[in-house]
Amino acid sequence: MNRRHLIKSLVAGTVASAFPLPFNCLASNASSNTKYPWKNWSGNQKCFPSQRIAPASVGELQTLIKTSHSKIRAVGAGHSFSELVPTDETLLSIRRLSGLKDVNTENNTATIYAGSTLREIGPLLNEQNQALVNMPDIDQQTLSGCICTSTHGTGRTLGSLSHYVEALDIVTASGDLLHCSQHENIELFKAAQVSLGALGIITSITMKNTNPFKLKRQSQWLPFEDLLPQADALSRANRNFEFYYFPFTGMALTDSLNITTEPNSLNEELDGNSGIMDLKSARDYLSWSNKLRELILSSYMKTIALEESIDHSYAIYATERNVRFNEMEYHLPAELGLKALQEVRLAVESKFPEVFFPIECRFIKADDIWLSPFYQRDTISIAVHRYFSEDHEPLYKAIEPILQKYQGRPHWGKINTFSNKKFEQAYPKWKEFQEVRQHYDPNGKFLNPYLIRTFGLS
Amino acid sequence: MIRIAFNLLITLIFSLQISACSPVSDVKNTKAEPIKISTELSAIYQRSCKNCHEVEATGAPLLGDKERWHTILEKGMDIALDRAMSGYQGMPAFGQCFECSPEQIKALIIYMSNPSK
Repeated sequence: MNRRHLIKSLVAGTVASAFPLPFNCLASNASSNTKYPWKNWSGNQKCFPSQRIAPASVGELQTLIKTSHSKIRAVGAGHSFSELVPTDETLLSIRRLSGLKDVNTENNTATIYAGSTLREIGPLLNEQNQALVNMPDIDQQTLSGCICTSTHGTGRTLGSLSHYVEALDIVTASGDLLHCSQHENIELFKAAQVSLGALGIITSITMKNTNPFKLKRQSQWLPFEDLLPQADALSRANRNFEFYYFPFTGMALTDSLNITTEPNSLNEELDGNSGIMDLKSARDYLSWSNKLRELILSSYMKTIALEESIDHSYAIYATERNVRFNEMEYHLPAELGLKALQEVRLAVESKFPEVFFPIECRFIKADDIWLSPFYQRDTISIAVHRYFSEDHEPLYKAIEPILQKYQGRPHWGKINTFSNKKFEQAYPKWKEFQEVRQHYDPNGKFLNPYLIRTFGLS
Repeated sequence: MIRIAFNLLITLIFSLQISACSPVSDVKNTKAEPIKISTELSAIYQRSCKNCHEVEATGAPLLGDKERWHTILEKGMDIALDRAMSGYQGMPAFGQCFECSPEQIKALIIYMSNPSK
């Protein structure tokens, strides 16, 4: 078994992609009037769109948008747990717009088609002597899905993927293809860096990259009470640092990544996917005694030695997440995150013995993007997972007020019940975003019921 | 000692699960020619099928797993196709391929059941 896959695969974050693109053409698989369903990765979001389309070129996309009378939502890889994608009108996949468009070796930037997945991008950039500065721990999302939802990895000095966007091209409701950056269409750019697919369909994104590098991953089990006082220091001492707390074990798994020039290596024993099912089995068979459950699991975890692996950065960041789950993640001010985490732990362990997925804790640098949950504050994110076929609502109903009490902003792609009023209060540039959205999409072509509700529109 | 107890526990649990769930299927030796696919279908496969159908832990029938595909296709191509197009268990409808036709999905099922090397 491979342990990184074991515990890491389980958790983590996700978010992938949900962002809107356009509509009714040759690019559809329904030649008849048959409606086919859509669902996301975990299966908690579903819809029956009247059309499913996948334009093969930017020109085709423009024509579709220009001629469509239907509302259009775009979907990337379907890894969002929130209601960003579902629509009963037109659902548009951007997956056919993929690959590298342009590379600038002087500035270390690359322009990438929006439907490329992170998994595809790593090797493509490597061939061009570039690499993304940071990545999340799954890589199946499309780049545009990541940008639209402010998808992030971990690293106290590292921003979300949106933070590294230098420019982007977007097809707006009129069908026009606009270029925006810090120097051109500046307001549009500020809004589009995290736009939930509500401004139009992003077709390509220019990313500020770095030269290729290798990462060494070190994973270590620690008693949670021992880890907690060190967590802040560890987040500063490592390029990427995160940890998982395993409810009903008293144990945490730390995960540290640092740049290295050492040769590739792999030293991992446990598989995250089978590991999570082991935890499920332990819950199923030992739920009559949480003390025994903790004794057995923690004793086992303490025997697992430090594990290390080294590879290209893009091969190290991501793990396979094949055990499906639903997820709530909130982004809290860095100085409050660990306190909130302790409260979350107490709530879970006092009321929810059925929980076996770990709670993930990550660190993200502040940015100045209007709808970024990291807007002007260094952040600790706390993610709570629930096995996909088990009811997540009671758990999330108990945990969400704690995360909100500590000024948390929800991840755009994950389950939350934030209201329009709360978003308005949590985002200082909310009004500016709405003005830009109204300007470029006055008739709400790119809205679905969730966005209408979230934006406070009637 | 505790680790041994844990391992025993997990082994026991898994043994119970395996004995309860193992499918017993007779494998037919297919002599059919391995299937090659067009560049277009190959691109669709890379985009929409590979991420699950080449990763064992997803539970999806794997590329070239003749035994598993035989079990599926024994029930009829119509059923397999309907499930692929409408979504079944973890699989989203059409594998999230919005441009695929039913004919292409059918061709990909046949390919996955017996791919050329």
